[in-house]
Amino acid sequence: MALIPDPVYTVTYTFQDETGSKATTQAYIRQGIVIDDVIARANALAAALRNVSNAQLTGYTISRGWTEDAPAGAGGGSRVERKGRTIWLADTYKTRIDIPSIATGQVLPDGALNRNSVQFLALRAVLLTDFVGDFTDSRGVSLDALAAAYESYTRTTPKRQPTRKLA
Amino acid sequence: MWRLRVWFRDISGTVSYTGAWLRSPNETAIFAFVEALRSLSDAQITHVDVLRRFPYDSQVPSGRDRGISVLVHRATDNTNNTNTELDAFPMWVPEADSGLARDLWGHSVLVRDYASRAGYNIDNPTPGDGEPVSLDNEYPDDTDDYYLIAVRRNFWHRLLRDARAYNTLAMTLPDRQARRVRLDIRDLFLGVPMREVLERLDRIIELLENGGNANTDEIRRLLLQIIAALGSS
Repeated sequence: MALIPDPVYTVTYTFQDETGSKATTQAYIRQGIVIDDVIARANALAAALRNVSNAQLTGYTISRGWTEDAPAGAGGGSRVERKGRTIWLADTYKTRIDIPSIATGQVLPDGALNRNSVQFLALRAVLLTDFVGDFTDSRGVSLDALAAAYESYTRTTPKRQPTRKLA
Repeated sequence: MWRLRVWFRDISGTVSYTGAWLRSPNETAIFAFVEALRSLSDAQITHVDVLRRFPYDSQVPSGRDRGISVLVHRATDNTNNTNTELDAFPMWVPEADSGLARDLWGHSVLVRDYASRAGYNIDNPTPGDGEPVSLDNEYPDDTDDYYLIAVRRNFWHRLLRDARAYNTLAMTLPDRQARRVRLDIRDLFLGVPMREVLERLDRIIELLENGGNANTDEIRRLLLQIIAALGSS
């Protein structure tokens, strides 16, 4: 059971023509080079594409993925709609990280998450102390404290419902 | 900021993800975060991705109806440098005609660390060695480093219009051959690589010539018009 990296970074370029129609094209950059070099290559190809295409290049997205090679299998009774909702502070601003199908053993009788469990303390350490500066809110401000942690439920969108819906 | 997403699937098969923001795609931090989540959730983690959007200041749309060019590079073995062709990398360039897209091929940045989706090198094309081939030049063959296909919207519409006419002609053929012709025409509607379109048109000619009941001279003349139009696109 391990996360296997995709062999490439995927760069998706987006275009828009004067009618408002949008189009995308993708390029791939091999793994094994530092991220600044990946950005430099994506930027260089963007400049080339901008010269080639008559449409407006509105931007590009760089993505990288890993796939679990041997998933252990979901636990019995697991439901991703049952979230462990954690709220973190980044210089007084709040950012949320939900944990799908929070393990029932992590939920206290009053609905709060057990903040002193080994598992929760490990998550807290990753976000706040082990990798200082890496984890941020959407503005790029580092996370610095835990504000709340409780069980919550959300609805599932139709696209993500299981394929077998009938008994 | 980089957006990290960790994807889960529960026992019912329902999928969900959770996200976090990262200053950089630090693999060690990502794996530590995933492991922490793994011990907190009883759903299974299926995959992880991290992405970042780089927008440009100018968002003013421009250009229309120039068509789409498809650059197809061959991708080769990058482990023992045998130059063995293992994959192909097609790249669609919107609003670009074949002449402009050909310039991309000569751009030096294209040959550095770019790969096919499976991760094979596309760093072998050398300007002047294996002249780029487009349909206004000749058919691509195995010796070309890459080939270029220009699909013009107007021409594609014309091709579909003509395909409707050939569908009518197919009704004059014996059932089995007519079915084959209709299948080929269906593929034209679905959109197949242009090289295959040409090969299929050749086969249509062959079928019609062997059909016996159709006016093959007329059909052949019409189909050759299509091929001539393809060559001039």
